[in-house]
Amino acid sequence: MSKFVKVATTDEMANQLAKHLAMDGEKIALFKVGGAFYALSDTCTHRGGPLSEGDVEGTEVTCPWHGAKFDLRTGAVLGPPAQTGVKVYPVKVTGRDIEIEI
Amino acid sequence: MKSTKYLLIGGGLASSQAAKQLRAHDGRGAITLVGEEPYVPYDRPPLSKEFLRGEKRGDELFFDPEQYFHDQDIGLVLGVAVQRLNLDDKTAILANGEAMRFEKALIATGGRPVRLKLPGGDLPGVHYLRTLDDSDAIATEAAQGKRAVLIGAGFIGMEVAASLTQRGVRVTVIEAQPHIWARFADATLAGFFQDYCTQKGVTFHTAEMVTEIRGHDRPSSVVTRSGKELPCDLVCIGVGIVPNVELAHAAGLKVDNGVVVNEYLQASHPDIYAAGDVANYQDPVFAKRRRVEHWGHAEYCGQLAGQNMAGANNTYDLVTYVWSDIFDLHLEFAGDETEHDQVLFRGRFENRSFTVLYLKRHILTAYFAVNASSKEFPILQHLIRHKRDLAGRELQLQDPTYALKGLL
Repeated sequence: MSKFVKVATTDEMANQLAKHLAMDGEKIALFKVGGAFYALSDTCTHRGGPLSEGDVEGTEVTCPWHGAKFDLRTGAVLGPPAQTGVKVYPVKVTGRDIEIEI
Repeated sequence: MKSTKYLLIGGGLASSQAAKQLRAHDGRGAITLVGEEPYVPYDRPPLSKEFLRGEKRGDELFFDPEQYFHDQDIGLVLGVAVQRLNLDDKTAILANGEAMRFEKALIATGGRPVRLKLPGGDLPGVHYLRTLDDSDAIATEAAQGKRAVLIGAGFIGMEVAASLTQRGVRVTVIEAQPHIWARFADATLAGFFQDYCTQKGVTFHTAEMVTEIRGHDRPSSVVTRSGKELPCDLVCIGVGIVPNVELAHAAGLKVDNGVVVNEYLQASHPDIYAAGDVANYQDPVFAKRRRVEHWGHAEYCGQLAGQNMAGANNTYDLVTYVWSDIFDLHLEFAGDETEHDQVLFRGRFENRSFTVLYLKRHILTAYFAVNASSKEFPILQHLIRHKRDLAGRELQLQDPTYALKGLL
């Protein structure tokens, strides 16, 4: 059963644009873009690079290892060398709590 | 006689990527992939890591299931080598006797391990590692408590050393050079890795060579040049690969340490391309000819060749990179380390997180990062690609608290 789990607070994310979350064996990257939050797998489908350390432009993140690009909203591949998208997790903000559904 | 528009020779990563690009750019042209191994194209890096450790199964390494090729209308001929290419009538003769006419062909035949000529070198239990079957054979013998001698300490040798140690095998590494990775690492850097691996249980004999493998029906020991006799249950040899150029050479294509191709990956015949380990290509980033045996290069080349075979005119433009995982150390290497006159350390390897920077005439040519912040990689690649003059920036480069963005 999936459920929403608190992973951070909006205060914590006030001064950062990305955060790595280690959840029950799953590595998740939480991004903040223009006040909106996106959560996706923090393991690039190319060779496993950490997307939470990648550059973000608009809603596009570039994997720092080998340059694969993904859409933060859908997880879809936007640029090679990755071939498959990454998993995305629904995010909701309740008060100051940022929760993701896992 | 069978015919195909695009013939992809070789069943590895480069061919697999070329097939995808060809199908994306030419929806209808017939594509045929001929591979010598009996498997659909698969991922080789795990053969020395996850697969060898038993954490991944063979079928998890396939890039795509066989159904994918049916769905994409890509013909597969597996377990069959191409024996001969006739460029006059553009025909390939396969090992099963079939002839196949083609319009354009990709040579992506990869390489094969250099075989050591040693007494006892042909015994069962003496392994080389290139294919899924090779790795499977090693894994089968690598039971807890067994003793393995690894000859050659390159990236793959060290990965195998780590993986076998993690399986409970007692590993001894024998390296001819005074230390591991002599091609790019100095004694200090190599010493860091050797010490780290020694703590994990690996034994090293450097500046040492195996002169004989002893045993009746399996290896029981190896004898070294200095006269040591080291007992063992299996031997793995990893001393480099040679490119599989014979087919290209016999066809009359220009061959010189690989199939010679231009920046479009086109060989000396305009309808023939080469990609991956077998290609000797013109690298525009380093303005010289190179032959690179890295996964990312094979992937990139396969895509580029596929695009160009389908009519594009794209040129090679990759800062080559390679990664490795040895125990819990993640290594990222990019560029061309063979050209440098200065080496700078960014960070301290006592902290197990650092980057070694290689410069030539104040221009970054390569970096070697160990458990380092990957945020810096795109910046370092940019500095390499655009040949930024870094004269006077040495202190900043060596200061891990300095934000490299300031150098862009």
